[in-house]
Amino acid sequence: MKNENIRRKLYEDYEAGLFKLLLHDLAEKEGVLLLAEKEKLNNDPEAAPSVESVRRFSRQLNARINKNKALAARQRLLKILNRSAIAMLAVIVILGTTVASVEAVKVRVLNLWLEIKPEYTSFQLTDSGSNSDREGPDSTSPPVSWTKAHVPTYIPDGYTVNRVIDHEFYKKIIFENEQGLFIFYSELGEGSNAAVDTENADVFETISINGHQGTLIEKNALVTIVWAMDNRMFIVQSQTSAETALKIAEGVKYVE
Amino acid sequence: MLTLLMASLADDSDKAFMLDLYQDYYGLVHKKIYSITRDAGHTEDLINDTFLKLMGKISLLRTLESCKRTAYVVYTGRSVAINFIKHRDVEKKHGYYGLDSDLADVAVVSDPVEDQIIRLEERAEMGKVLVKLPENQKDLLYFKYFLEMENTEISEILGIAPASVREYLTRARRNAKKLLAEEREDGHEE
Repeated sequence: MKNENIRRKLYEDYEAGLFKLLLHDLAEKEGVLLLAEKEKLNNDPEAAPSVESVRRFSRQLNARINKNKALAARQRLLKILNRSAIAMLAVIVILGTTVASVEAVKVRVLNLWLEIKPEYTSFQLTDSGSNSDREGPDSTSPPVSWTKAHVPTYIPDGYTVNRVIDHEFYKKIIFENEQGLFIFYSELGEGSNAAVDTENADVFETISINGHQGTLIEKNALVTIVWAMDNRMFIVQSQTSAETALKIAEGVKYVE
Repeated sequence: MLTLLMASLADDSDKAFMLDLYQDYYGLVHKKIYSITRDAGHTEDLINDTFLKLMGKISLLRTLESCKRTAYVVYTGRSVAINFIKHRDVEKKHGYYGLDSDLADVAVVSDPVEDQIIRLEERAEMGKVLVKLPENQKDLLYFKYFLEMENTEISEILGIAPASVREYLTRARRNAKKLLAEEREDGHEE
């Protein structure tokens, strides 16, 4: 059955080819007669097109040529637009991948964000992660008892630990002095966000904490320092001078 | 810039070629179209349609020798005229061309495939037979095998369903073979 179908198809192709040949032969023969007929008619002035007919055809011909030109131009434009769209898509994909994977670019994006969101500043260390549900009970243990963790090694005199929060991805120590002034120390892991009120801040500048780029914000007598170090984000907020806050931040060390 | 200049020159050259073709073939195309439509009021428009249709075949027309080019122009004119009367007659419910009835009454012969084909040595005889085919079948074969029209284009010209074109072509070829067989029988009897 399959062979029969193949044979049938081949015969059809053969016959189509043969009829093409036959019709070309026939066209040649008929063409000779038609050519003679044409020459005869061309010698008859009455069979010739009028000036108005030629003019009218010429106008139609111009219109058709212009239409074809416009169509070709549109197709060229579409081709260019298609290529541009593909190139743009490639740029977006490459940029997206770069932003998602390169730490340095993340910092740039972070800084850019700082500029375009003057009313508040959102800090995010990484794109992924989840909130930990392992919230330990508040503790009054001093931070120095932590091991294999970052701890502030310098706190101005007069401050004592008021509260400690120790999550897997989020750690916080609140210090308070007798005047009721606070120092907040926070450490955020991957997936955490921190929003800092920066609207109309008195000071907003980029600083260096032990060689790590950070941001210092002063607003309403509250000094905030945010910086990234060892793939973690740190925040120190204090009702002290900027120098003292800077000293607290620089004192954050990893302890075994 | 160079591309635009080349395109502009090509357009000028094509336009000059088409105007020459129009003036050279006007009389013949006029005669052929009028012989089909018998409609003097529309002939001028149909002539223009013919040459505008030929615009898409400029590169082929430039290569054809004069007798084949003449046949090409004439049969394109015929296709335009037939298309015109087909669509006009659909409205009038009166078919000049009668393709449906003329082609449908040819019985479909269920010969084995091999018996249906024309052998190469029969080509010269077949050429003579094709001239004797009814105009509608000859036109159909011309449109398909000489003007190399697609089935959809043929169906549009003849006002028939695209799926029917293949069947009509088969019938036209079978009719040609039948005529060939009859010619041969007559030859043997003589």
